[in-house]
Amino acid sequence: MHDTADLVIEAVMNSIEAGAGNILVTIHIDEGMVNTRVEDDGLYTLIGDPFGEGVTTKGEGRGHGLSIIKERSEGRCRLTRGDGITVLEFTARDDGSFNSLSEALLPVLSIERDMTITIWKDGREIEVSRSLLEERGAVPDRAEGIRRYRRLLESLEKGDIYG
Amino acid sequence: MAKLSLSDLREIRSREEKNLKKRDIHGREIHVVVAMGTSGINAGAKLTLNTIADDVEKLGLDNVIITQTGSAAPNPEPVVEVYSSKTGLVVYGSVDKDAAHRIVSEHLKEGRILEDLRIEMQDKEQ
Amino acid sequence: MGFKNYILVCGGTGCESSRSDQIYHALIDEAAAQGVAEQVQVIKTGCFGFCEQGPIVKILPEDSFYVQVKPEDAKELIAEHVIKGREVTRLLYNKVPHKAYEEVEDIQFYQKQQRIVLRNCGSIDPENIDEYIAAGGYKALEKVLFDLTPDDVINELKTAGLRGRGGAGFPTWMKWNFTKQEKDPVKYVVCNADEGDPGAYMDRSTLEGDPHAVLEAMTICGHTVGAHQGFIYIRAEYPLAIHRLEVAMKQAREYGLLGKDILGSGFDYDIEIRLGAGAFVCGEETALLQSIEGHRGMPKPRPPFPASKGLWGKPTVINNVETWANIAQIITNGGEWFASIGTPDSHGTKVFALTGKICNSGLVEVPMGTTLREIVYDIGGGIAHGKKFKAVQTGGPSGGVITEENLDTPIDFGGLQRIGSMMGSGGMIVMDEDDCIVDVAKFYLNFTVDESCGKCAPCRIGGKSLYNILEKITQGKGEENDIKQIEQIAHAMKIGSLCALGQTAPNPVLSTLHYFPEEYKAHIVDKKCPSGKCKKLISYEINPNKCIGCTACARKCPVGAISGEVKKPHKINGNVCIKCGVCKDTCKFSAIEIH
Repeated sequence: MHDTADLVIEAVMNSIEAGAGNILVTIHIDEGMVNTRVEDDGLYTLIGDPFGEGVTTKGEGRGHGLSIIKERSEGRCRLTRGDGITVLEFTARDDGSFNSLSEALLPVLSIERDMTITIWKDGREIEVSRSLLEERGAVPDRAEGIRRYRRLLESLEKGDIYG
Repeated sequence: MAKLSLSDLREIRSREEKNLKKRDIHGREIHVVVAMGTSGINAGAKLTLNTIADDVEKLGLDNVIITQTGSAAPNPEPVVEVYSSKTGLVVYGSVDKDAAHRIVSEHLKEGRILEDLRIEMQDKEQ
Repeated sequence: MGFKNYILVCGGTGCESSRSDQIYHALIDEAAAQGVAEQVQVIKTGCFGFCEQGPIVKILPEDSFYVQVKPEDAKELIAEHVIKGREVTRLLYNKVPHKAYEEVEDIQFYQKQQRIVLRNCGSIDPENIDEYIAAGGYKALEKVLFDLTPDDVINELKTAGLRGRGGAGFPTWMKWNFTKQEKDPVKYVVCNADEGDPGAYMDRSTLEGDPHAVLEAMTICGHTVGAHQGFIYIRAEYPLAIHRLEVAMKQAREYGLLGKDILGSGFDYDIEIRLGAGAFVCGEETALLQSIEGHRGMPKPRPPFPASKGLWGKPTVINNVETWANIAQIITNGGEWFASIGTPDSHGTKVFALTGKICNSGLVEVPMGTTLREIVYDIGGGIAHGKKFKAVQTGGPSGGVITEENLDTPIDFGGLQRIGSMMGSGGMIVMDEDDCIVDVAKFYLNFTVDESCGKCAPCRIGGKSLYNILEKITQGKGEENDIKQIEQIAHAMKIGSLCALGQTAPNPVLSTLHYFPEEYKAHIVDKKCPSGKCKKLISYEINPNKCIGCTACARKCPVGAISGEVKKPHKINGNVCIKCGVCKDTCKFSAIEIH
């Protein structure tokens, strides 16, 4: 069963499978709701309702993921395209799956892809990018990197350091 | 070449050590691949991935590298693949939190295959 | 800038003689021709030890272990492995793709081995000092020059319990300490690289694969005992080892790791190579020193020992290659680490050159206390061609044979002595049922007779007399009294000879006599050689029931001793037959028998 953080993973995976080279993720967590916006420069061929069950925009595999986003967001989702940029937005319930940011984001930040994630949580803005992790030796795919990654995200959450 | 001082020698050593290590360590690496497709995520792959990352960090397994892949359906997910030159490729199915702990402490650390969790990999559904 | 692949090519003498040098160049050329020169680094290393399967090429990071590689294979290795990332299965050890088998360390040959002396052999380029430094080289020298006192070094060796690896097993710290205590301002350090036992090539491989380990250790010794000059005495028939040493010395001098004011410590030290002409007796330390001085290599009575009066009458530390190769490791890792390896009586490891009728011949390094059975069966893979194990000869011409009943004896200095052999320098020759034990004893005796310097009568005359008796026995002219005479002469040689060469020369005879009395008896009394080796005692005959008259043997016989009509049993004329055995090897019907 997908939690809300899992939906973000689905969305990012969707971008990656569309061949996106650059991904921007913005997440607002406020008043019991999580609002997510994923922008990417991937290639899509949209036919009909992209959120339909089993519908695929890339020939294989992901249609199912978008349909889950639709289901979990109770229809509050949309996919738009313009100027080569695809934007996926959805709003789902805050089920506490973002309580630990490091856990929620590890699956996407361990992927080797230019990616910037901005999160508004508890009245604070936190920005973390793949390039920042690489700079700090904090890519969470090895023991040492995982240790640094967790420390970095904790201090970002506490507001100890910025960017 | 100039005659070396003690610090010159140490500098050469730390510089060259890295080159020599590149040769050496690569072949001993263990790759862990977690299937993070829709069905995997639905079955709890995020928790599996985080548990493995946690334990690898706690045990300081420096030779382990963790990556992810897409759907492993129709296999029982979450699916975790472990590849090491020592044990070859081993696929585990239905890897919940407890199973993830065991994979790290027994297979990644000790090199012991967990036969009870092992599955035969089925081809991906088309 | 990183390389995608590292290709390690064995550059030991064994593999070089099977054209590994050509393989090395072919790989470089192919990488360039196929446009991947930037992606691969080809490195020529020291001996991998698994000589049976040579030439060996290992490709990293996949850790693919390619065996019996030919220069012609270079094209495929580059095209398939480097470019396409696919292992060339037909060249892999066991022909099994990498995923299905284990790491190189898990190949059975390597499993029970522990590499201290050979740690860098097969993993670094011996002609590149930077690689030795990267592998922790010259760390021990740093420690000795800047952190430890000479007494600390001696104490570390004492804690380690390192004993000389040349054969006798004298504690190394004592040798160093004797020389250190001498007041003479001029002292010397000598490396004995005069490896002369038949079948032994441990020292040669160590020098070829890791020359800096010896240079570093000799420098440490110089600083500890107060010497400023070292000599490496090596036989001229080891050209590759000499070349690697020369390259290593040149690089060490350029880095200031040899020469004046080493690393700014104020300590001066240099090393020279002295070539020997390959006389076995020059491995004996007093003869060796004579030879370095330019005299004829003949032993001198001891005492005085070289530690107090050695080269040009000056206090001299003399150790063999393998002993030297342990020193830097002991200083770096501590004496206690070394003492934790091996048995209470003998610490550390021992390198053996495993040869003879064995499946996996090669260079083997095992912790002291490993049994002979483990070496022969687990590492060596047992006897080749499914034959029956007969004995192992250790200790070279000074050693003896070890039989089935003693295979479980842990190998250490005391253990081997108790069963009538000795550690020696590490040659280990395996014999099977086809080997005649009297012939083996004769072989070793022939060797020592040939190598005796002739200075003292017990060795010169005793050895020759012993040889003559054995010759007589193998020709079917043995007499009942011979055994008694052998024992008497042997005894006289043991107590009367000047040096170890003569004192130990009877060992192979005495030891074979002790373990195989019935085989001597068969030769002397029954005039039979049970293994069919002694030609004077055997005859080849054709079993008429098995012979189908294919004429194959008659056509192969070099002296025309076989006659017979086609499709009818043939016959061998015993008067003409030279007992070469070609007919037996040729016959597909096992019709030719030895009587």
